[in-house]
Parts: sequence; C-alpha cells; structure tokens
Amino acid sequence: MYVNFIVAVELQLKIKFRVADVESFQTVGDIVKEAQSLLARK
Amino acid sequence: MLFNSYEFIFAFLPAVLAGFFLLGQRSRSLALGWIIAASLVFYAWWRPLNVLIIAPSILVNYVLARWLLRLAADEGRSPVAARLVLALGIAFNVAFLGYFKYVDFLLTVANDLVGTRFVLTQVILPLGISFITFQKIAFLVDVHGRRVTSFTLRDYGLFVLFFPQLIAGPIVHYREMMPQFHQVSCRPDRENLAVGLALFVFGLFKKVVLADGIAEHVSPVYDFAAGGHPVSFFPAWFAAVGFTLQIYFDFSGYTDMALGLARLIGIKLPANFNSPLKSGNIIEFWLRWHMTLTRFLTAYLYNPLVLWLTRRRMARGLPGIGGRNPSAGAFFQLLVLPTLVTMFVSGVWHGAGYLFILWGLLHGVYLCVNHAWRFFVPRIWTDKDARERIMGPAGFALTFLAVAVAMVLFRSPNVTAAKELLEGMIGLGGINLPRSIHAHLGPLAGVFSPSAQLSGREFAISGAWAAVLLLGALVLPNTLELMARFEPALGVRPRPAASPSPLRFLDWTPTVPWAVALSFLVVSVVMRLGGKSEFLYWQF
Repeated sequence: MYVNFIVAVELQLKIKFRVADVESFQTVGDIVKEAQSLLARK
Repeated sequence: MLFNSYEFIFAFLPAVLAGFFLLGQRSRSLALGWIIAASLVFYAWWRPLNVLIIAPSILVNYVLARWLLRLAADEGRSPVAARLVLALGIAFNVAFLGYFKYVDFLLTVANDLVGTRFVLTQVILPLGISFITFQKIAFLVDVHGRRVTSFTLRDYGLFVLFFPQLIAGPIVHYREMMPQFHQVSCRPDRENLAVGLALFVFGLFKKVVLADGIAEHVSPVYDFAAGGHPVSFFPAWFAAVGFTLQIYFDFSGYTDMALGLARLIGIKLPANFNSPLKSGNIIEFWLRWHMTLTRFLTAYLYNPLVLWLTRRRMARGLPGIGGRNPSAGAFFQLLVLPTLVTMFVSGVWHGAGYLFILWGLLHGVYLCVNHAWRFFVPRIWTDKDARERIMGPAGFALTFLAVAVAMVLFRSPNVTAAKELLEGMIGLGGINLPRSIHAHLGPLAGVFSPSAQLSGREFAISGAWAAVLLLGALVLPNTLELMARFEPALGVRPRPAASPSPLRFLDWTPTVPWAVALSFLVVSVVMRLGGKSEFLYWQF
C-alpha cells in the first residue's frame, strides 16, 4: 500500500478514498480512475 | 462435534456427503440447504442452546447487511447513514462477543484494579464465537466497501455456518467463497474426494498422533508450574518448545482437516499455515502462521489505522513513513503504534486474560524490533552480503526462540506458571538432569545438578518427541507443499524451484503407495481415537 502517495493525492485533490478502494489499487491508473469518479461526484 | 471423534468420522461425515450428493442430483439449492442444516446440527451437537444464541445474531447481521447494501447501492449519496449502520453493526458484534467472552475478564480487571467485588457471570462461551464474529464483521465491512454487491439469506447462512470452517477458521471472505458455492457441481468428483480425504487424514494424524502425543508430556510441566513450583532449565525449555510444536500440529492439523472436508464437496478454503516455524524473521512468521487471521487484522484494522494516522500526519505537513530513512516520529506513529494496537487486539481476540494480552503485545514488540532492524540496521551495517550470511541462520534461530518464549504466556494456565517457566528458562529453577543421565556425564557432571524429581525415562521420551516433531516442522515439506499439484487450498500452486527439491519424491499423488501410506496413518489414528481431545483453537 503506497499510502504516502495515496494520501498526497487525497490532500492535493481534496478527496478521500475508501479503505477498500485503497486496498484494491493495483496501478496508478486505478487511483486516477477512482479519483476521477470521486471528483465527478463532488 | 469434534472432527476427531467416531461420531463425526463414521456417522456425520458420511451422512452429510451422501445427502449432499443425492440432493445435488435434484438441485444445487437443495444440496446447499442440506449443508446449512448439517452445519447447524454440527454446531448444536456440543450444546444445542448455542444455536439459539448464534442464530439471532446471524439474523441481525443479515438485516444490517441488507440495509447497508441498499445504502451502498445509492451510489454513495448517503455515506453518513451507511457509516452509521456499519458502526451499529460492528458495535453489535463487538458487544455480542464482549458479553460472552470478555464480561468476566472485565469484572476481574475491575476487581483487581479498583477493589470492587463483582460476582463473575460464568457465562458459557459459545463455540468458535471469535471466529464467527470476525467473519460477520468482515462481511459488513465488505458490503459497506462495495466488495459484496448481492447476497441472499441462504448465501449468508452458508457463508457464516459452513461447518468445516465454522469453529476455528480459516477465516474466509464472502467473495472468495460464494462464487465457489454458486458453481459447485454437487456430484462426486474423484480428484476432489481423493485430495479431500488425503488432507483430512494428514490433518487427523497431525492432531491425534503428533499434537496429542506431545501434549501428554507438555501439559504436566505447565500443571506443575501452575502450582508455584520452580521448574528446572530443561523441563522449562521443553514446555516452551513442546507447546510451540503441539499448537502448530494441532491447529495446522485442524486446518488440514477443514480444507479436506470442504474439498470433499468441491470447495477450496484459503491456506492458514505455511511452515511458520521455518521463518527467518517474525514478520515472515506472521505471514505464515494463522494466515487468515493476519489477513483479517491487516485488512480491517492495521491498514485503516495506518491510513487514518498518515492522513492526520500529512495534513499537518509532517512526512509519512516512505523511503529508507523514516523519521523517528513517523516510525513510532505510523508503524509502532498501529502494530502494537493490532497485536493487542490479536491477543485479546485469542483469549480474555492478562497473559493473552501480554502474548499479543510481546509479538507486537517483536514485530516493531524487526521493522526497526529493516529500516535502521542497513545504515549502520552496510555490508549486505555479510549481513544476509550471518542474519539468515541467526534470524531463523532467534525467531524460533522468540515464538517459543511467547508461547509460554499463551499456554500458561495462570501468571504463576508463566513466571516459574520463564524463570526456569533462564536457569533460576536450577539446571538439573535426572540422576540416571547425570551419572553418565563424566567430566560434564559438574555443570549440571542431579535431580531425584526428574525421571530419566520421561526426560528421554519428552526429548525424543520434541526432536521428532521439530524435524517434521523444520525439515519436511508441509501438507500444502506435498499436495501443491492439486491446489489443496485457494491459490496454492507448485512453486517453480530453481533446482528440484531432494524431497520431491514425497509429493502426494493419488497412487497405491500413497493409499497404503495413508492407511497406515489412519490405523495409527484409530488406535488413539476415542479419548476426549479438543482442538486448542476451539476455545477461541
């Protein structure tokens, strides 16, 4: 779990991933996809 | 009902299999319903009242999970409500477990610390309540996290009650079990029957012959120490190492049986043990010992805690723990703290008592030391080759000793026993040998004292038991390795080796020589069956 990177993304974009999502991230692409989905819901 | 009892092996299991395959010819739904009914009978056998206790809690969890599912399906439009329902579900399960397992311990702590005089409730602990509760909490978290997106009452009942893993695990995830149940053929399959039966026999042998065999020599030492008697050096070490081997063969034997029973009907459970005593460090040990508990605690406690703490730190502009040079603050806040909390919970989960908590915290300290070593020692000891050459064998020995010392806390019936045994292990109880052995030591006789209390015969038999079991645990391939060609547990496959193992000839295959070998194991088991011998982990 690249927790520093993930939390840095959260702070930068002002979003919060679910723990389940964080554990399921396999690639940076997964993080981008979930971040976009959270941003779209804002 | 015990897996190692006549009624289970010769009545319950054949009836369950016959019913499952017969009903499976009509419909899968009927066959799976039969497994749920059989699981309830299995659970009720020990104490029928247990079903009345556990069934309402299953129904409450089911209702909460359905509620969560509706809220989760709302595309996150009501996240606060979903979080509240999840919190309610976790609180309900923790309170349920707390009442049955911890209320007396908490009253004892209050009586000890504040001097109150609460009368203990003496509530009888429903079998396997810790395992069942963990699984129910995991399910709620998975529904909340959208890792489970649909389920029925039958599916949920099957997931929680499936008898091979109902009492002592492996702790499973809904998402790894349910697709299997939905696809199971419900027809006898030769490979599944052969693999399942072989796993069951291996497990039965490990439990009935090996674990129960050494237990006859280990238990008297703990009972002796519990009376406040000083224990001499060798018996104390035998108690520590002997119990480590006993619990390994007991619990991994149970797990093999659980895997085998599930496999008989075509279901694969996750692996729970992978020769943990061969580990080179304590982090590796926890990745190979009770693996599904480690997986549960990591996913549902450690990771969320680390994520929460990292968010707090980084929001304040402080660095996380990445890279090779973490600051002391990050190391303590993001590694030591969550590790100690997780291992504290692990200790409490194992049992309601001071010694279980100490055992968990001691392992937490071991893990922190191991992490600190990984982070900080390479900076000081820069010769990587020398470090690995020396620390390879040293790490293995140190890990084994650390595990064995902690097991004294785990097994001791009271604090007095733990104190006497730990003192004995550092020689405070004397370094004695039986007279019959001492007389033959020649020039070494001065090092040890002769003792009339120790029996030379018992000393030799205990030593032989420990030596044989150590050999089995440290040198021989484990059951999953022996059977890797047939995926004995979920995802277990043969590891591609750089050079073929010299023990490759031991690999299990459904052949006549192996059938004969397993028959010998069965005979040795049957000769010892009949006594009441519960699995150590059933008490949890």
